[in-house]
Order: sequence, then structure tokens, then C-alpha cells
Amino acid sequence: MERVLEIRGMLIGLYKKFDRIINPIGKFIISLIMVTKLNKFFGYSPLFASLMINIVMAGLAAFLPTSWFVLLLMAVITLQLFAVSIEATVVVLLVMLVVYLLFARIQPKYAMLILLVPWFYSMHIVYVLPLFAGLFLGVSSIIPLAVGVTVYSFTAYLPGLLELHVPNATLFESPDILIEMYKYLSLAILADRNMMVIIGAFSGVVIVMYFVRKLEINYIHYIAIGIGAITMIIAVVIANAVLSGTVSVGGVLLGSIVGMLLVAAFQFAKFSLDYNRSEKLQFEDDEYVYYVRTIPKIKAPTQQKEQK
Amino acid sequence: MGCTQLINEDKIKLMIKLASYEENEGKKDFKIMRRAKSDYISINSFVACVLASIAVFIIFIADFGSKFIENLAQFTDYDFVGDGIEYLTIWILIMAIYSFFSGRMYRKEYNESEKRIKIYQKTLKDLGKISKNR
Repeated sequence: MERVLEIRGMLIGLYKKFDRIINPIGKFIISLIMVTKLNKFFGYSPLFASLMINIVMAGLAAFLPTSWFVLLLMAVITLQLFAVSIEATVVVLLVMLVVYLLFARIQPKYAMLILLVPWFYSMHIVYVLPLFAGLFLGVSSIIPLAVGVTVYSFTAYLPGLLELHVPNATLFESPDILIEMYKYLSLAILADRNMMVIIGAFSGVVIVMYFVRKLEINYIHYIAIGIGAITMIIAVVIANAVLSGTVSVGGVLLGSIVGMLLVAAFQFAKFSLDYNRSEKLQFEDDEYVYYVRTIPKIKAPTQQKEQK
Repeated sequence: MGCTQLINEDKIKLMIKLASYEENEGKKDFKIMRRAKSDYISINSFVACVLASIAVFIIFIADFGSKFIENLAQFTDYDFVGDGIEYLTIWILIMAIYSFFSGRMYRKEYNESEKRIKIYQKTLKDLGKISKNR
């Protein structure tokens, strides 16, 4: 165990020393994967099929704030749909605008969660997110998680939406097409029981974990992760019964186990979002100008019990 | 050799803390602290509610548009007042919930900035004391 802690300390030390290089590269790689997956999912515009365009967008995203990256992805989706149907573009753009104004604008810190939910769904590890949010982010992460699940459910209805597109429709026919698309989407989303089951389960997990992690018990974070995973399974079973959903309990069980292991590993590594980073500072007093480079020390691992 | 005798290590540590804060969280905190607490919360909550209203009105327009176009032939019989009251009620409810949660969020943000600024000011005072005692 001590050897593992030593390796962890060494890795954290390396990260803190070179975070100015590692962070942009990490952001670039994640952005490239997200943008490439998004363009592959839509695939309507030949312009975005080019790897060069994806690299340029990922390069921009590496240096932009998260909220700008969200806007960049919204622009990509709009341009992709514009290649197929103007009416679908208008509908989807308005939906994204509503989501942005209602949620992403007021909680910019958590805007990334809205994007991560569909991405993690595509990798079949979405159950990591409520466990992570319950442990590290708190109750206010319920809303972006719920919105992310809705956005993911929405993507399933895109093919149906595009089927309502009428090629070579005149300007006078466009309002009818728009209304048909709006009705199709709103009825489909409101009738999606499985989406409500998942939102209910995710909310339950975050709330339970929020209260459990406040307890003063040794290894409480790992206990909270385990309780969160159990809560997920129970919540899905109850929600399926109440809302007549058909979410696979086996899939949730497997996903919760994988999520539990990943979040526990993350907790062990403890790359906190508010970590002390290395910095280059310059300041002066009456006698000297100081050029200082700060490199934070790695604290020795302590017991998980919180002290107040 | 002469430099190390003249440099006060405690003073350097305090100056590093101050410089690091000013480079990072301080930028945001100084902006927040320019306004009084009630002003900061009310202005930001108001802006959040205006943006949320725009989003809600987009949904209302889409809903109204779909109902209206469906019943275009009988538009003189359409219950505009009934629908208007329904939309107004929903809007008021959403605004009440939204302003409550946004107010709480901005209050928390202001309180946290205030705490950090107090620590910053205390550190400045400590630095001033060290400089005077030299």
C-alpha cells in the first residue's frame, strides 16, 4: 500500500510541476475526441468530416474557457444540421438556446456536465457521472445532469425529426414543417419514461451521497461511493415501477460497478479541482524585484476522517 | 551573499501569497467586491431572470404557434385569454423558483469572495507590520 501511495505522490508531483503543459494538451485531446465523435454522429456536412478542421477546433478549445467550448459545439451542431434541413436547424438551435439561457449561463462551472452525459453514454460509462457529482460537486449538479440526460435522449429523436423535413419546401410551407417538428419533439421527450427514470435515479444518487459524505467516519468518501451505487440500482427499480419505465436493471448494475471503481480510483488519486498549482510570479518592494516560481508540495496521505 | 542577508523570508512568503491571489481568484473577487452585496445579488439575479424569461418565451411562442396554426380555421373561437393566463402563471412560477435559486447562488458567491478578500486584507496588514518592523 505504501508503494502505491509513493507512486501516487510521484505522479501528482509530476502533474503539479508540469501542469502548464499537461492541462492544455489534455484539454486538446478531450476536445478532439468530443468534436470528432460529434461530427461522426451527425455526418451531414462534408466540411466537418475533415480531420484538419477537427484539429483546429480542438486547438481553439484547448485555450478557450469551457462556456466558449459549449458555444463552439452548439455552432458545429447548427452547421451540421444546416446541410440537411433549415427547419431542423431552427428547431435544434432554439432548443440549444433555451438550454444555454436556462442552465449553462447561470451555472457555467457545470456546463461541461451537460456535454459529458451524452459523451459518457456513448462510452457506456454514464453512471460514473452521478457518483462523481455526488462526491465532488454537490446538489447543484443535479440540474446539469438532468439536462445532459435530456440532451442525450433528444439525440435519439433526431433521425425522426429529420424525416419530417420536406425537400424543396417553399417558404410558406416552412412554418407547418417547423410546427410538426416541434410537436414531434415535445411529445417524444414528454413521453420518454426511461429518461425520467434515469433523471430520478441520478438525482437520488447525488442527494444521498451529498448527505452521506458529510458524516465523520473513516473512509467516508469510499463508503459514500458504495452507497451511491446501491442507491442508483434501488432508485432505478423504484422509478421503473412508478413511471413504467423499461431501463435495464442489469445494465445499471454493471454500469454502477464500473462507475464505482472509476470514481474510487479518482478519489484515491484525488486530483482536486482546486489544487495548488505551480506558478510564476513577479512582484517588487522598495529594494528588489522578485521573480518567483512556486511548486506546491505533496502532502502526506492522511486518514479520511474529517476534522472540524 | 549580501542579498540573502537583506531578504526577509516571512515577507517574501506573504508577498507570494498576495501575488498568487491577485493573479488568480483575486481578479474575480475584486470585480465582485466593487458592488454592495445586495446590489450584486439583485443585479445578477435580475439578469439571470431576464435570460430565463427569454428562454421561457421561446417555448411559449413555439407552443402557442403550434396550437394556433392547428386551429387556424377557428382562430376567432380561440381562447387567447385562457392561454395567456396559463402562460403567465407558468412564467411567474418559473421566475419565482429561478430568482430564489439564483439569489442563493449569487449570495454564496459573494460570501465566499468576501471571505477571501478578508484573508487578503489581513495578509496585507501582516506584510505592512513586517515592513514597519525592519
